[in-house]
Amino acid sequence: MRGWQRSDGRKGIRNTIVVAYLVECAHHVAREIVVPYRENDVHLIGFPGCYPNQYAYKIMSRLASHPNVGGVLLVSLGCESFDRRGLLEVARESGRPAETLVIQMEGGTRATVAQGRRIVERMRAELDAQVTVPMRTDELVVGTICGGSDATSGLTANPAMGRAFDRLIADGAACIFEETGELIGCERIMDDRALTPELGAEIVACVAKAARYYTTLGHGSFAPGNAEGGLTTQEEKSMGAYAKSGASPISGLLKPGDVPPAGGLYLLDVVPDGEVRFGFPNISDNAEIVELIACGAHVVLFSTGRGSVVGSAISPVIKVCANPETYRRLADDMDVDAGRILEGRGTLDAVGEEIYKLVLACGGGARTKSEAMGHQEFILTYKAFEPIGPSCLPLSAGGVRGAAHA
Amino acid sequence: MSDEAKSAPRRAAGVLLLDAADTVVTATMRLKPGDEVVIDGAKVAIAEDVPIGFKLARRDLASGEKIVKWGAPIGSATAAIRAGTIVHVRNMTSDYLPTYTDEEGARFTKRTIS
Repeated sequence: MRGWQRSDGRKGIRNTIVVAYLVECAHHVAREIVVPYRENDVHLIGFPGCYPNQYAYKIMSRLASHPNVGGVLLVSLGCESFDRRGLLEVARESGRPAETLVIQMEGGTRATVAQGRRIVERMRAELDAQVTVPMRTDELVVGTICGGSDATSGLTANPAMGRAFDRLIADGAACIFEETGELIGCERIMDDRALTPELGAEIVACVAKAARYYTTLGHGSFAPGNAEGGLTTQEEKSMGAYAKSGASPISGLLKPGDVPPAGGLYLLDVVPDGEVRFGFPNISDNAEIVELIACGAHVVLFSTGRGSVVGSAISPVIKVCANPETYRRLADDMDVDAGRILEGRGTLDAVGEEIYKLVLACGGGARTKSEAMGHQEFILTYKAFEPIGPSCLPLSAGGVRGAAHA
Repeated sequence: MSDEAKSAPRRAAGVLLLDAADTVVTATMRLKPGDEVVIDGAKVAIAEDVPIGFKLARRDLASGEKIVKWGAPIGSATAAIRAGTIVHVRNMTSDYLPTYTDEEGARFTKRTIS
């Protein structure tokens, strides 16, 4: 692999410019700036809310300094409460070219779009002149998520991704799995796999938090499509989702925006702390993908049985299709046909190996299906988190990854 | 999970046993009424349409009995279930959270873990 060297020690596998709107009122202008450059690694991200939110600020800060991001253009309306100066500072301190446009000062829609496009063109030329350096697998962060799950997800794609995770972790990569709400019922098994008993206790507690949270909302992370696909209960979906984690020991528990301090397997706690305030933890799969990317994920492995077509801004998404019938319908959108295992045309090990190689190829610049088709979905909403406890990262004291962040 | 199940899931005529402790098997292909599958060496006649990935009772199950898949409990039977019939929202329920479906007859229960 080859990557772009960033000042914090991390390397990026893409050199993308993000154009970020800081309130919905600036969304259209930011999108208009991006439109001509959609094929040139210029991605649209943003936060729609006008009210301040620490979580959203943290996520946006991590994204503005994400290794796959080479340059940042912020688009503000002018009167929203988002801390645009703080965010600009984060991007600039990281050594990236970064600018802010305030629509109310710039002279409105047309003037801001024109100025934004001039900035993007200048930045693009600057980034395109940057040279890459060799990048090792142990510098890679990989996330995993499942979406549009059915009863085949836990039989084929998820365990195959787990095997790819085991290979990547053996090479020293950091791999992150999630959704604690989709791991209800697996807490005792995860406890046994935790590096320390204290970490195990944190994992059990965070799954209990997820169960409480979803019970208050009256709805688990379970859609009617899951049941149509043969999944019956949250626990069953959980066991299938859990297979994504592979067989490595669990090295830590992260919250959105926490970067793994070293290689190994990490669980991402996506369920907010405290009372239920802003609704469902993640309103759709892309909200989780954004959180994985905010934790530094260079690539995201996405398993689907029913057939999701999404990709993401910033980091490429590799689609692993669990169901052979779905694959035949949506082959154009799928990078891996894991459902073939059910038809006796492949083994978990062979599909795991294929996914592992695809991750490395993607790190070498190969485009995933969703990436090539211009999928750059992005969603960020309100949440509230407490910082992780001291037992959550037993390795961090002797952490080796130069990219560890406060 | 037993080592045997981990290394090589057993395929037997359209159904898959994931773990020796399981009370259900999984359909690896669409099954139709009149099809026959082999569960634990015994031939079992299929009486209904079974989509890919759906669960079938491995043996006769009593109401209230745990449904075990991947060697882990994934809920409880809400009715007696005959071997070879579909195990789904009509005859089992979560031990944790309600399941919402479009189907009539889905049962919701609530219990939080502590």
